[in-house]
Amino acid sequence: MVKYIAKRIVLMFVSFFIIMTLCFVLVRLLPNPNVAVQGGFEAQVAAMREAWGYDKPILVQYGIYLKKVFTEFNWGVTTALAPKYTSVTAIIAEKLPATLLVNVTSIIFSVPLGILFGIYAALKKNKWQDQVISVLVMLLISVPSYVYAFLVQYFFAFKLGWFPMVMKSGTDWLSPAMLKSIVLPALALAFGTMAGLMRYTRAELTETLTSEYMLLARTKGLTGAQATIRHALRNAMVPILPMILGEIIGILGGSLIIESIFAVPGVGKLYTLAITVRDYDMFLAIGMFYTFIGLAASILTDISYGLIDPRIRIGGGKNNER
Amino acid sequence: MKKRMVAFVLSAIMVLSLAGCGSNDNADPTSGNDTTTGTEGTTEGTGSESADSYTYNNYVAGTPATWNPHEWTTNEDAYIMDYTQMGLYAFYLNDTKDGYRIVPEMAAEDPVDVTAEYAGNEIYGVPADATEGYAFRVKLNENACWEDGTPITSEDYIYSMQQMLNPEIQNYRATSYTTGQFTLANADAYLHNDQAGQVKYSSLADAGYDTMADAQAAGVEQFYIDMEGFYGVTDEEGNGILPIDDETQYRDEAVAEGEDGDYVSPKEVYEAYFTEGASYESSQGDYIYVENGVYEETPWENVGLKAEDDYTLVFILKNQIDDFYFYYNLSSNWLVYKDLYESNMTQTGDIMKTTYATSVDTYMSYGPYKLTEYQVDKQITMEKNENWYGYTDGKHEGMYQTTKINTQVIETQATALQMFLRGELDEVSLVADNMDTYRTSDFVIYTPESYTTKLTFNSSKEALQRLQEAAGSGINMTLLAYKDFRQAIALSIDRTEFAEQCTATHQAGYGLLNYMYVYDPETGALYRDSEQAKQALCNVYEVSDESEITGYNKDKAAQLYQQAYDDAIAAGDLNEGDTVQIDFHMYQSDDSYKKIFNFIQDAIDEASAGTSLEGKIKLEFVEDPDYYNSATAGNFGMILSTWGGAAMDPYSMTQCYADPAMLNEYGFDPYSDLTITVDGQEITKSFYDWYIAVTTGEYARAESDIKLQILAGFEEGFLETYVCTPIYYRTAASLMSRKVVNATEEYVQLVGFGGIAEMTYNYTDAEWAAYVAENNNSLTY
Repeated sequence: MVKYIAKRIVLMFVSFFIIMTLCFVLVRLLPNPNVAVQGGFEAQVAAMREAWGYDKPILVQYGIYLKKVFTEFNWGVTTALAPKYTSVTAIIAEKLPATLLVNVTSIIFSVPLGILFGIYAALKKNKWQDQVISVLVMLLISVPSYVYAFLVQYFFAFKLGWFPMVMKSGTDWLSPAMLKSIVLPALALAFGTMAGLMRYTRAELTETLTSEYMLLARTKGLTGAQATIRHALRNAMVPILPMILGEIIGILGGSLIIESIFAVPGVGKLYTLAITVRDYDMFLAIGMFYTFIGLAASILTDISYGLIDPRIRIGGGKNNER
Repeated sequence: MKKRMVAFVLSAIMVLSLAGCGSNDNADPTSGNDTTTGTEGTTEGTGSESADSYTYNNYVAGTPATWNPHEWTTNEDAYIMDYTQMGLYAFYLNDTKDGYRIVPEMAAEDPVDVTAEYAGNEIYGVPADATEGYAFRVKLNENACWEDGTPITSEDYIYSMQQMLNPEIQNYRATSYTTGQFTLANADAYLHNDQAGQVKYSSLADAGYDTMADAQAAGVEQFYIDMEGFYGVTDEEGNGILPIDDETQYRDEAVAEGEDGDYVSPKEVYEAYFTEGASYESSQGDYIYVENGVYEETPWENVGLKAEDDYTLVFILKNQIDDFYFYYNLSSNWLVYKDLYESNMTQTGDIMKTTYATSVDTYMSYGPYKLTEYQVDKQITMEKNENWYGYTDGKHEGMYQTTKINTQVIETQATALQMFLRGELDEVSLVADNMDTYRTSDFVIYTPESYTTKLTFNSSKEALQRLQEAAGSGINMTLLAYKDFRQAIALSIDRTEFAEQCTATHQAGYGLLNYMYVYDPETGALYRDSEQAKQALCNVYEVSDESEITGYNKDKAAQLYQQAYDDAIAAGDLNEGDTVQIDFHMYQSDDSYKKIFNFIQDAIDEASAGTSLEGKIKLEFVEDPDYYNSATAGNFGMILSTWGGAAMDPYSMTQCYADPAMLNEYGFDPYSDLTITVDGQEITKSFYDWYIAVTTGEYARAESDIKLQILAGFEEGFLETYVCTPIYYRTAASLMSRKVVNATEEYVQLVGFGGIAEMTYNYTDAEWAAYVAENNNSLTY
């Protein structure tokens, strides 16, 4: 297991390096390093382009970049995004808490509710309760999250005034006012995840509930609840837990649209804005941040299978083939 | 039993989860629960504010990236500057609220023209016979200080300008003082001190030669070509001035790799365009360069900004300037706070950059308001700067009633509108979808903008040929190089209908400059209202009276389509079965752009019906966020382009259509001749030379009537080339809340509706909160 994890970590860094190289080269192939505002800043842009080394051969630029990243952990400065000429890592760090707060809250809403409704639907398979939940799932999955966002904002904030229209400013992340202000964006984000979990849990649990070992468990004298919780649910969770883990990892990503509607000062917008205004360093830094998260998540997900179900052994060695 | 258990558990979960949603403790906006930072709209300081607290709740769609006066680039950047900085002179509404007055602010009094003292001064280059318009003495306001109370003296101005022009920083805004109308003497040379000792290249014209032959006769042996300016190509180090005998093949980014012309050498370009009999031979003076000595180090003492004492500055300008434009250019400031500017300076690559003015901690205000909170993508708060002289000098009675400006960053207009209707914002911009509801509201204001949006065409046959070859057989793109065809497109579009169907509030537009432009600042006379400007448009649109101009003539358009078709067939540029494709580059592909696209396609289809081009003209939608760059490179057929700004200086707008660095109209030659009748005399110059003449040259200080004739002649001449055709003049619509009152309902040049300086309030913050609560947080407008 340890050997396997070590091997995966090494491969993760190799993948990371390859992706970073590709991103760097592709981004540098874009025609304009720093979007000039219509109005004639060409001379300044040209001077800065030269000063920042954008006119050097790409390999030379990459060498300089790698040196800075790995010797100084210097991922560069913003050249167009706010605040200008500020360390990109500082900006990501500043904006990450808002994203984390909204997305963690969304998971707190979505995971328990998704699983519980999924269980309930499975237990009530083909009854009216199951049908209601299935319709709800279809609605929640098929309607884009920004539609919920506008709806919850319209009803709960604009019409009823129960919550603020937008997220509160400031960095008092855990203050009551702040928490209250993130309920709506978290709810809007939660619907999709909740629906996914409901559907998945129902499907998995329905399958395990009809398994032969469940019949065996009941014949051994376990009650329906005992058999469901001890056997059916545990087996059903094997494919579900990695899905939850993926959601948890995804909380770092933010949501462009939800952040926009609820004025959440998070990282969701950074990625797209960085590429739109050609803020190279920001784009690369945040791109590599997500890459790292994604690669780490895949390792964690693989490891988690073994933890949930001891029958699953990772590594594929001969010892596992018994 | 088990059913009851499950039901109980689920019920409990639902109740718990919904409890968070059910809290109604904020339903009453006067509850004052959330006063921490005030971004929850009506919860802002309610109930606990002092009786005379007047907060202006505003929003912006994007966060300022920097409000460093040396580095700002966008309107968003300028937002904080507008409130926390102050010019030497400011424009306010006059007593009758129908015009403006100029008031010394950071200056103590009006400038004194001291040109005579510097006439003949060789260092500054002031002509010996100059009597006015080159040098001005300005006394500074001795009460001005930074927000921390530190006095602002001439030393601050000098230091700030030194940094503005510091070649190691390469500030974006340095060009405000090194080019154009308000150019400080030797500022450009100082900015380029980093090139000291390097060979200086000058165009033949600047070096005093008309042609290469003249230069050769004078002993010049080596010539260079401006590959960057003429062809958009540089060497690997970014040098654009290259020897004419250089055979190195350089990459032309405007051509796709692998296509003909993807690499080109200076020698090839020179031989193709500038040798005897070639198409650009007459432009040798502008594109052929010679060595012209070396750059010399320019000491600061030679720059045209001097401090005579702690509170006196002298400006010495490279070009003569009108008094009005002197005030106008000094209505913005370049001051920076030395300690913060330097302590936030860092090396980025080979260049120094400062993060001055990118946060509260790195900035020092000195205007009516000081920055107290800045959260990226979220919040900007500015409060009354108690150290601002204006609150005690007796000159601003009744002004600046606003005590706090609370600005949230809200990208989604729908969100902003709902917040406005809940009384959480005091102004909201309107979009087309809102206009049916609010068009007749008493609270809607229309703000004309100086921007004109036009269809810009690629008229370069070579560039279009390149695109055509890439498009494959059966596709023709070069027809766009025919003026008749472009004019036909222009005449196909009913601009009034276009403005109504495709925009929220914009007006049909026919000229390059709209109704915002003032040609005579002394009288406020509008360019568009002048007889000369009206006649120019009448000539372009071939009508006898301005009221007849629609820009729309389907019959004439059909005639021109047929003419273009016949000519192209005869010239072999078009085959009978060809589809004429126009790549229409648009910034986005959202509904509003698609509506524009479809409208123009329909208009062309309708106008070309019955001609040989019926059904054959096809617009191709190209989503292109870099469409301006595509235009510069000639990789387009048509774009929607917009120019505007400088409403008080319409003459400087000629630069947009004559300076190759700013032209979007690819294929148009700004060095082509234009004859204008000036004071009864026909004078011929190139478009570029007219632009120079009327901005910094021989007509820069001419009477307004003379300049007006030149401007109208320029506009007519340019429009008649049909390299672009105006479509609409921009106007923004917004709703103002009942809480605030603008000083005037009529938009006034330079001061708008009076702005924050003259805004008054119907309610204090506490009264407003109570009013909103009485109306159940749902206001109607």
